[in-house]
Amino acid sequence: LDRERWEREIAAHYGQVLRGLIAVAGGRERAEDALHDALLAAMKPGVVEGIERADAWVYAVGLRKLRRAGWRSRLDVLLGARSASYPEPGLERIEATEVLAHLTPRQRELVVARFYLDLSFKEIAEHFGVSVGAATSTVSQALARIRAANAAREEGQCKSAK
Amino acid sequence: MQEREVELLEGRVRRSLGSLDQIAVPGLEAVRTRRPPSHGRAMGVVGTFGATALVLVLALVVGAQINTWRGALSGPSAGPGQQGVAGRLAPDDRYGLLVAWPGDATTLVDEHGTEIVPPFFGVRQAKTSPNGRYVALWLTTPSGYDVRILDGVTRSLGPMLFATTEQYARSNEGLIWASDSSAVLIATTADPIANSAGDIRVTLRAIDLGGNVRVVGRYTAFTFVPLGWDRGKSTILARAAPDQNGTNRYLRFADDGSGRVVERSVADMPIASNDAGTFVASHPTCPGPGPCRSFTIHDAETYAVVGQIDLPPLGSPLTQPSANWAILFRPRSADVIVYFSRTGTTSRGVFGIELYENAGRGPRRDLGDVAVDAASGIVFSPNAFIRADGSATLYVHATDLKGGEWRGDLIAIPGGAHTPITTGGTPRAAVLLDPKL
Repeated sequence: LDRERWEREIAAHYGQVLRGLIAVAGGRERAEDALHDALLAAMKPGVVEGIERADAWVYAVGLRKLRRAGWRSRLDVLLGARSASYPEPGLERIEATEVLAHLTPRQRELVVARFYLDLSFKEIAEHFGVSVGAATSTVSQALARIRAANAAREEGQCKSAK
Repeated sequence: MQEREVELLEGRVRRSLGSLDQIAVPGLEAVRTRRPPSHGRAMGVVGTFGATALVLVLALVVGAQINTWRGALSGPSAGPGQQGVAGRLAPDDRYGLLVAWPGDATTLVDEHGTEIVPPFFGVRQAKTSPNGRYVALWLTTPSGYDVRILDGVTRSLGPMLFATTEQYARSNEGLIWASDSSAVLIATTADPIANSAGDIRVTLRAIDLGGNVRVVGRYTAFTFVPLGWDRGKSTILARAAPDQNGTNRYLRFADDGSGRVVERSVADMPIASNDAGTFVASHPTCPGPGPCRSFTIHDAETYAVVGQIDLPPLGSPLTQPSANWAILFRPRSADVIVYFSRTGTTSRGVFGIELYENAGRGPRRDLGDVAVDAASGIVFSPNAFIRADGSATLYVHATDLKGGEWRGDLIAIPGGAHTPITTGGTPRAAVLLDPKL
């Protein structure tokens, strides 16, 4: 991408990417930090020129930043840092978080990429550094989990109705 | 799974994930210029060198010390009304609210809605003192206007301190407090204020809590609005417009009655000062058709820009000169709170509220959203009021056109935990009812 097209694509898609990161992170603050860091990473010379799809790249890099921030947040807890104890605006009412709650972190990342950001399996493979087969398999396993969770919930509802 | 079943499930997952679109996000510029807590950044630097045991031990020691310093420097301390920084707040009877009932009656209630003083009438402006204990009142009377002080701690309305037939200088707000809460200043004019009257002569009077009155300045302009009074620097801050269409002037008066005034033409509109009178917030005079979507914080002495706050691209400030300017300085600090409309339909509006620490120079803190459903076909925009010790904000909206009841959230600062609250009338000002707060 040239810089101008990058800016246009980011302006158009950052909201969706940020929401995807929020869904994976389970909170706004860390997701906004991760997106901020990803946008910063793209400022380095030569980076943008090597990117083909801005939203996919920012999402993948944002996820890496989130993972790296993971151990820091654990340290925050150890240190009793006040920033770690700030409750954030709730996401409980968002239906998507209910669906994603049944998945492993990796499955969550790929399901959001596939079904929210509309990345193809080929694009997921490229940006996540896995094979197309591995990406397909992870998403399939995630769907199976969601299906099982739905079935269990429906069964539970039937029982309680009886 | 059968292919058809997979297809259906994928469709269902797509629809569920589509609900993520309900999450309001900040503007791109806000994300780009975001400054995460320095604490997190410091930990990130440590992380690049590996999490060795030695570093962990050092981090524990240094981190604990930093937290101690942060605690000391982070503005208002956790008051007794807070149940810890992370805890949800509950309405508390040690915090008071001046509320107006339908009609002309105003009274003082606590956060549970219990009435504390008998109703009084004619309130045109109510301004809380920097220490949170008093509310200065500009009241209309049969013969003109009065200044009286409501004391939250003694829970009583004081006697008339000053009476006049003069009016505010083409402004809804003509009364401010001195930064040490020892006196108020009013800006009034004896000239007619109809628009055709041209310039008006404005008199600035200081009135202390004992009722002693002295003239501290005079000025001639088309409009005049006092903004703040830094007692330490003996300086009164104000905005004036020289004529109906002219650029604004930012003014700094000496409060000693010498008549000294420093004038400065400014391209934006200064609208509010913090209680200490050390910072001034402004909004741009936007030439375009849309609403202005930014605020600037200036050093009160030099008018140099110290902070810039950009609202999200869809954010529209709830600018209401008759109430406030959708930007508030948090009491006992230089933190800034802005609130705005995020998005909405004719049946439901979503309103955001954010805190910017240290005169807009600190990190943005999203204090969460408040959703307002239409009542009688109208989505009532919320207004924000801050507890007089700065520990929480009430983000509340009218439930009907009469304003008999306002509903919304009590939001912990800086935590952001929301607790539903209902006020018995239209909130006008916050006050402390407990001297220990």
